[in-house]
Amino acid sequence: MRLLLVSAFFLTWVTVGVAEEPENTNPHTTPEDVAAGGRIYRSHCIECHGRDGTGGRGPDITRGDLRYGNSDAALADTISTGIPGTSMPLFFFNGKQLWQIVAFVQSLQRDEPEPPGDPVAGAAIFGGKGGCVTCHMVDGQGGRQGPDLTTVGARRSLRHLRSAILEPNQWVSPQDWKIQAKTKGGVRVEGIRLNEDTHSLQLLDSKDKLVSLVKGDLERYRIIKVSSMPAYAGQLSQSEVDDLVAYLYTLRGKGASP
Amino acid sequence: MKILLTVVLTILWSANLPGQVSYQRILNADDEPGNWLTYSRTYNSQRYSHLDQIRKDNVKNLELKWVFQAKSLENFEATPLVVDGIMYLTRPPNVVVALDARTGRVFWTYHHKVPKEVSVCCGLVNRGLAILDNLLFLGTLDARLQALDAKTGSLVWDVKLADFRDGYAVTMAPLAVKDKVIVGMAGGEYGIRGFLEAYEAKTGKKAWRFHTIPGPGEPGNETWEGDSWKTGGGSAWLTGSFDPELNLLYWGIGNPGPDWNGDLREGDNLYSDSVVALNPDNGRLQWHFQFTQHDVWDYDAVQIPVLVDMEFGGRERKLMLWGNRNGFYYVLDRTDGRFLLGKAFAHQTWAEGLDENGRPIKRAGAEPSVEGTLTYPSVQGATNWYSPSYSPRSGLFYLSVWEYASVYYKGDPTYVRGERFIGSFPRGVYPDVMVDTDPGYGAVRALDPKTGERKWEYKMTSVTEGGVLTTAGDVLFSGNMEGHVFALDVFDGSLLWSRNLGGRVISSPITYLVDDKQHFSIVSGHSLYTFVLKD
Repeated sequence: MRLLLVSAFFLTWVTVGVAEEPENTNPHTTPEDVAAGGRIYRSHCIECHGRDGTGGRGPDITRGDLRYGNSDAALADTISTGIPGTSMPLFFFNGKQLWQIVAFVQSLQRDEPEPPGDPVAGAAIFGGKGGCVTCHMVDGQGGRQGPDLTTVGARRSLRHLRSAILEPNQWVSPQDWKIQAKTKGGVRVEGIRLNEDTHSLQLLDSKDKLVSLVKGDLERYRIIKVSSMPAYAGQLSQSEVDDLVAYLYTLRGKGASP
Repeated sequence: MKILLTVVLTILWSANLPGQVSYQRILNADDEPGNWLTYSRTYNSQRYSHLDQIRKDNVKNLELKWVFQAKSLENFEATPLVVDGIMYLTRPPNVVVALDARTGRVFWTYHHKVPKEVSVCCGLVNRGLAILDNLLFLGTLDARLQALDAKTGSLVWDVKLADFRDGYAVTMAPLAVKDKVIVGMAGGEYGIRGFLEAYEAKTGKKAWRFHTIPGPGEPGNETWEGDSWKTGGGSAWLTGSFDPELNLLYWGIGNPGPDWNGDLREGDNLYSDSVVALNPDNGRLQWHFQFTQHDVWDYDAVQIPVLVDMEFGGRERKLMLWGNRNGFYYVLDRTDGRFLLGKAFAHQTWAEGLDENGRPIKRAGAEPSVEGTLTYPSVQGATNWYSPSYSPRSGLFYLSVWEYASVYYKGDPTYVRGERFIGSFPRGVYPDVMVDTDPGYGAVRALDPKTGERKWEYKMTSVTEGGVLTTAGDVLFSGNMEGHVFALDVFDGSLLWSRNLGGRVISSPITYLVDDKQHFSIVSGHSLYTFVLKD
């Protein structure tokens, strides 16, 4: 398992081009520091990363497999500067508090759990019965109307993956919002909301075309904040869901899938 | 006779020297609408220009004339000065540039090297300069005040105001009044004890200091529990206003520290979140008005005091108009600080209202908590440091507004020299990192200054850190985080002109004349853009 972890991390490192992490030892790692970090974590991090760190709207941070690095220094950097383009903001803590949070996050690290199902069977469901590939892309193959799942196994816990399959509406983020618009000329446009400002909307329409709409040209528009993914509760058997979860859990970046 | 002749010639020569900015010129800046001689253009800080070449009916014909690129990725928050065709501005972190306002070409550049160890909460920023006679005044991030020769950029004098290792810094544009230059300290998130200081402009000799937190034995010290006054913040990071008739300086004071946990500083915490009226000759306090007692939301009262003389309550009064970060609009009598009016101009959930003296009646359960408390306005405030404006033509007061909430958390602050002393940090600061389903919005609003009633609103999808400028052409200029700069009709808020410059507007626009032609300059992203009407 450890070898798998190291391999997975190495592949992720290669794929996303993370810079070599500097040596840095956390100066605040006593049990009191961990407890203090835990208090800050509970007030600031829990909503996205969950009480035990296995994720929610944010990724699972318990598996030593973070996209922007797992060292103390890398964690401190991520917390204090945020991750542009995501919901991870920068946090405004002094040095000691920052290291205490790092100490707490490191205390959450654990061995990876074994997925319950068969990833090969799950891959077949993903591409076949489940119809997932119609909307989701993996390693450059698939649709664009749902989130790209190429690295979803590195970011999400087994519990989250299962929940996202059975109750997708629980996990809709602003990046997943859609737009329905009707122009003054009567043309209807629907797609994923990529951007918006006071005067315009940018979207990927249902035919994968990038469209920019001027609000002044529209008769009306509305933002849809619920998932358009079907809930698979009742659509797939328990064991099929297990298989699908197991497959998604293997998705750690290009070349890492079975 | 020879001596007399020399004196007369010297006086005449001084009066006519191009580019030399006497106190009289700043005092009468309204007579020189072609220049921009002090941070808010005039001492009354109305940010209203008498220029009217760019009007409602032709503003759509604006075209880009030149761009100055700052060569820094830090926030570019400066308001330039313009003196007889020369623009003086600061770019981050502490670089001063003199350029030709006709072409944007640089005459000279002055670099102040900022130590890596400086402590600033919100970026290596600077908001501009003051000018008096032939000297430019720069406050630095390592808490120094420097005077530069306006012709060459040479350093003339340089004084240390405080030890930056204690968290002190200067981010504001200083204010030149009479023969002095006045400057204040940023550092409200680092446990400083804030102050304003005045220096003799010619020599750099210190004239006075006003502590924004009174010391033991001084009135107001009793509003701080124990020794909390020593690290109570009370920063002053934006430029004040001045009434020459009353001989009073007005300055907004920042939040108490630690920001989001007030347990260590029981009491009202004077003069945090207050406006103070000081005698500019000696720094003595004449009166104060505190907007938010015992603030636990970081509702700094650093906004620019807008001074207006108008009829109020049946008689002519000297007023101060103030849209506060806490969500309330205030009218004060600036002769004595008397509270005349207070009304919410944005959604707020921290107060039931204001009492007859303007003191907020705090709402139970709105304070930060360990679990987090959702409260309006957000930590960035209902408005903040971006300049408001008053147009005597429309009779309206204008300001940039955030309709937005934060989840306020309460943490355990421990004072460590030079480190952040804040007691947790709220979530939900900027919409682009928000995960809530309702990300809020930004707006420019026009208020009736006598009632606080909203007259119109220009609503934006994103929020804004752009200041507001109004002109005799009945045009309001501003910009927003989306990268748009725009012109609105001052009377109804309708959009007259807009350009996407692609970078966040986080400063306040100015307008001036070059070759008798009206120019309009605004920062977007890391560049300053200048527009003129097409020929």
